[in-house]
Amino acid sequence: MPRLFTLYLLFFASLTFGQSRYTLSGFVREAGSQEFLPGVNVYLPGSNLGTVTNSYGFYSLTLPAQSDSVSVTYSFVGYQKVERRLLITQNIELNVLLTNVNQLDELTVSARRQEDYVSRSAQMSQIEIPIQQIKKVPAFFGEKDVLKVLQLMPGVQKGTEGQTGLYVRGGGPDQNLIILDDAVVYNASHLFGFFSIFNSDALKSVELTKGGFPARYGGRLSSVLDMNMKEGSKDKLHGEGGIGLIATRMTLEGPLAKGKSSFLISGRRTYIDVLAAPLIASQQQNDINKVKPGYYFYDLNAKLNYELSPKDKLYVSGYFGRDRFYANETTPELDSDNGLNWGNATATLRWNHLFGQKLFANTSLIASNFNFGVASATRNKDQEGQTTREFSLNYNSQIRDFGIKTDFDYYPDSRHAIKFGYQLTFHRFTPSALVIEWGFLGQPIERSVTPVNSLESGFYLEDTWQPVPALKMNAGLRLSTFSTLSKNYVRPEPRFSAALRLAQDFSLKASFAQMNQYVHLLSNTGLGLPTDLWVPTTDLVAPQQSRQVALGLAKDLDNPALTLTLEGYYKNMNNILNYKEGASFLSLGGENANELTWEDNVTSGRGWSYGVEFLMQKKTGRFSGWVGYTLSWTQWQFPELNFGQIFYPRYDRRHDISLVGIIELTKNITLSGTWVYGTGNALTLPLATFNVYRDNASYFQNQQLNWNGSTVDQYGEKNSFRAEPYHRLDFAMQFLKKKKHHERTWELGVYNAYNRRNPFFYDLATEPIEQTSGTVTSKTVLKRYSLFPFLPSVSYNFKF
Amino acid sequence: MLWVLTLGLYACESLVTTIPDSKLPKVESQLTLFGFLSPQDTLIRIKVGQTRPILSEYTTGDSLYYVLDGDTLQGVDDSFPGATVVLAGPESRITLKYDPIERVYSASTKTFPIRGGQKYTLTVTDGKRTATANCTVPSESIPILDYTLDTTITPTLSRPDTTLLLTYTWQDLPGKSNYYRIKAYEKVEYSIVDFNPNTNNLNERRTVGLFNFNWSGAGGRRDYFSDEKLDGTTFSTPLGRKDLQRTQTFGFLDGKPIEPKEKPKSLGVYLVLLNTDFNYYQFHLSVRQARRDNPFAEPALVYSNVSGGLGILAGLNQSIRLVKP
Repeated sequence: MPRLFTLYLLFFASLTFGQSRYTLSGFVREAGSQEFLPGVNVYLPGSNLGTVTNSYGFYSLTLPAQSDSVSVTYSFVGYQKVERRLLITQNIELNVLLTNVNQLDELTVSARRQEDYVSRSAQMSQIEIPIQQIKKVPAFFGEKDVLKVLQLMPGVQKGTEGQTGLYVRGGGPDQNLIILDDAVVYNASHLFGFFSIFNSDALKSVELTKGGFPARYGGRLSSVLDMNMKEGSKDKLHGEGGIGLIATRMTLEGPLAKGKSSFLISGRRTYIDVLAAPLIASQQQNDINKVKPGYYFYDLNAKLNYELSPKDKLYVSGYFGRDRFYANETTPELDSDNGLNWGNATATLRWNHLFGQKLFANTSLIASNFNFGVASATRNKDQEGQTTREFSLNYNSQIRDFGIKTDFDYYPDSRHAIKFGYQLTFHRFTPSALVIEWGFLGQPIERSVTPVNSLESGFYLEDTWQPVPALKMNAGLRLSTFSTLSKNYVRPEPRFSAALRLAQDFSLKASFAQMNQYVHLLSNTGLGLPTDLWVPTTDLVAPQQSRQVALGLAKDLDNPALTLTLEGYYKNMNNILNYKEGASFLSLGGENANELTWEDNVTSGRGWSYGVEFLMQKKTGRFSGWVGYTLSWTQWQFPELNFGQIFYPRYDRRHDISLVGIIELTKNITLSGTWVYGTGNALTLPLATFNVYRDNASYFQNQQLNWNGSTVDQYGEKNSFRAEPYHRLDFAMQFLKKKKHHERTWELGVYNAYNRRNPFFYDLATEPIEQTSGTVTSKTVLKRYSLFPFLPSVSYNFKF
Repeated sequence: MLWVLTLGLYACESLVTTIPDSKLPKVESQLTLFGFLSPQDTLIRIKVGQTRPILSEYTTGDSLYYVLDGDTLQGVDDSFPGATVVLAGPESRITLKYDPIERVYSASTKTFPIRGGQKYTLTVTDGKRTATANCTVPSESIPILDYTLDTTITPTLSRPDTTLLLTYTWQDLPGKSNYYRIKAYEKVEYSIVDFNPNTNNLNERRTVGLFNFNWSGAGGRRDYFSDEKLDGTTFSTPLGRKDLQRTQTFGFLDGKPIEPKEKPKSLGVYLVLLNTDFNYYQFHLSVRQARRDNPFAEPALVYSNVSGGLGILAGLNQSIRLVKP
């Protein structure tokens, strides 16, 4: 492998000889804050020469010597375009500042304020949403949520009402690689899945890839969600914050050493527990028994950066979030503390280094941790308050990662952009550890699973290559490995994507990607519950694998500035995991609760998904937004589920529509609306009950023959019942006022404007019917439980 | 703002909605049948019943549920007389008769022998509905090779118990798919004391009962086996446990426990190995998963090989080894 790298690099090094060529390189930043801008297009208009800044704002463009001065354009969505005339007779280092259009006073509404032409990039199946747009889309209770905005894009679906989990092209929420500043985030939700852990005030960029994955990413089957935190403004202290119905948040950023370093710190916390505590206390004032229930979540983002030299930069960033659900009870007889507690923590240390003008390197040290705990302690006491009996239960599951990665970006000439690197991650899984203690019975029950250590690694090389002006491609290979104690998995993953220009701003795109996933999520409910368990690949449980092909058309229009994409995909998935029928994460009671491990509870199978996605998007202008439509099919086949017959998994969705519109009514008033529609989930509904009779149930003692049966449900085919379709309309209105030193925004919103009762779950209920004869007749009915009716919200945001 | 809040409150009222019958899947009651055919049995028993659609009206009190060992058991009114139950073999057929005491359709294997390697078809009809199933009885009974039978003293809260520990082995038939179930029981003769409160008379009588071993092991309780990936190998059972039969007490008289004079007497331990067909294996595993004792559990489907209905017709061939005391 290293030899191949050397040969490859030598080949490109040789390209630079023969003709005099010069390199134009530098960093692109935001004017004012000096934030580095990733994804900025740098190109020579009217030619095919161009490049894009990497995630640290660096670009490098090697051009043949030009006799005349040339014009170089720097453009990025949401920023004012910059043009420079340059004489390319030597190597040039040029740092450029772009001005955010929001900082411009007049409402500049040009036909197309940016040159973000989707048809010109080799990448397909990728969604980029400007943070500014995320902040304008209506949100549940006014809490802006990156993941919920992504759910509005074609190919990305939500699970059930209000949940943040992403279902990308038939994959589950566990098949998304969610990266925050290079660190993998395992459980991306707060409050049982209703809010994501990402505070959009602290984010700089959000990018979701659904297919045609570049070789630099690996480890999950269905998508890559790459998020970068802001670095912190280098010019002066800025603040941003808000008060909503759910949480308050505050972000501060500013310079440390002028021009050299800056910081950002951002926090968010819910406050319903603080508000409710005095109410609960006053209600229980005269009660002997006092119960204190509560719930809160908070998260903290922090980032520091330091420019060591023009060639070296250091970044330290971290995330810490917790959810806590508790109920404390005090009565004359006992004191009891019970709680659920879960959260993520990530930390990243990054070092950027420039080797000359063409080679950029970043090395990251990464730590990530997720843990979930249930703790319950009860102390029985006598009249004097002396302890008579104690009981405690502790359940813990944890996943902890330490990793290192280095990524190189090499730009040999204007036709090639090469990326290569490696990543090593040490995982430590503690799937479940249960300890129950009784003070007097002595014998504690301990079911501790020995932590599982494993090493995951990836080595990759990819090249974005433009052999002829009409063709641009990205070809790459990733070699991923996973080592458990006794087994090594080595899997090569070829990746390819290409764009062929058919006409002006109209291209045909194709891609192929093979992915492997070595960590798995076991989920009973389909909700983003913290009880969902992350488990590693083991000797018995093989890695999940997927292959995806996609074919699409991309068209950019200038007037109106629209982007149209149409994509079809086919993806197959092998060794995907599911709980066995009848299994659950909590095998309380039952005949084998003490002896079963998670490996006995899961079964593997295969799945495949195909569909068509259409997106018409307008990213800029007074009226922006998008229309997305997905037509898709997902099917599973597990030898041990549904008796080996093919079935539709719960989130198979035939039609998924989203309409998003944002209108700037005046300079200070923005109105936005979304409408979503989705086919109902595939559920298993009990149809009938009957008695089953086994061949002499063996634990019946003292009887020769026994025809007592067990009552069971008849379900029909697995997941053959379709829930009613989901649809919902939301509105939000923002009123902005700019004051001398700050600006503030009031936002009024409505969720579920026409009060559609969308299904959250179904359950059977028995309703008694009185009859004349005196006997009571009962009827079993199916009830639909909805979660959120028409919900108004208000929030206040400020910025300085 | 006020109207928004009012509308919001109004909206909260009805978050639970009953789905009208017209939108529910149409479900009709189906016939169920359960039968396990073995050459070693003296009686063929077929249990016939029907499913009860859940989303329908029914009168309470027509069934009595109780829970034992995590099973919801239906104890009464599972009788289903009046059906025509025909079992057909390769050469002949027999119409089974309804036995109102056991509430099953039965026939003696003397009049209609079950033979290994042969295919049987069962047809049940109640006039309106017809359900059929067929199975092939495995041709061989597999002998038990070796066994170990030990005793151990188990400390318990009250008094120490003596426990019998059992394992045995068998050789899988190579070159074909086999499914097994293991069973073991102790045949015990013991006393029952009847107390007549009017006369204060105690009457002791002897009876014989079968007391099963419980199987437990590293993989949880396992008594079903498949030779998939283990073809031709020697199988061994997990550890089977059974408490040694103790003298029972039958209430108290004048503060003293009523105990029989004669102690229980073991008549031997019976080791049973069932060589079953796939239907038997799959059905029993699926029933175990389908028991409704964990609300968080995934829904589980019960395996059926009945067309036009639900249930199972399975074949098995048994071998029994007696260990005399």
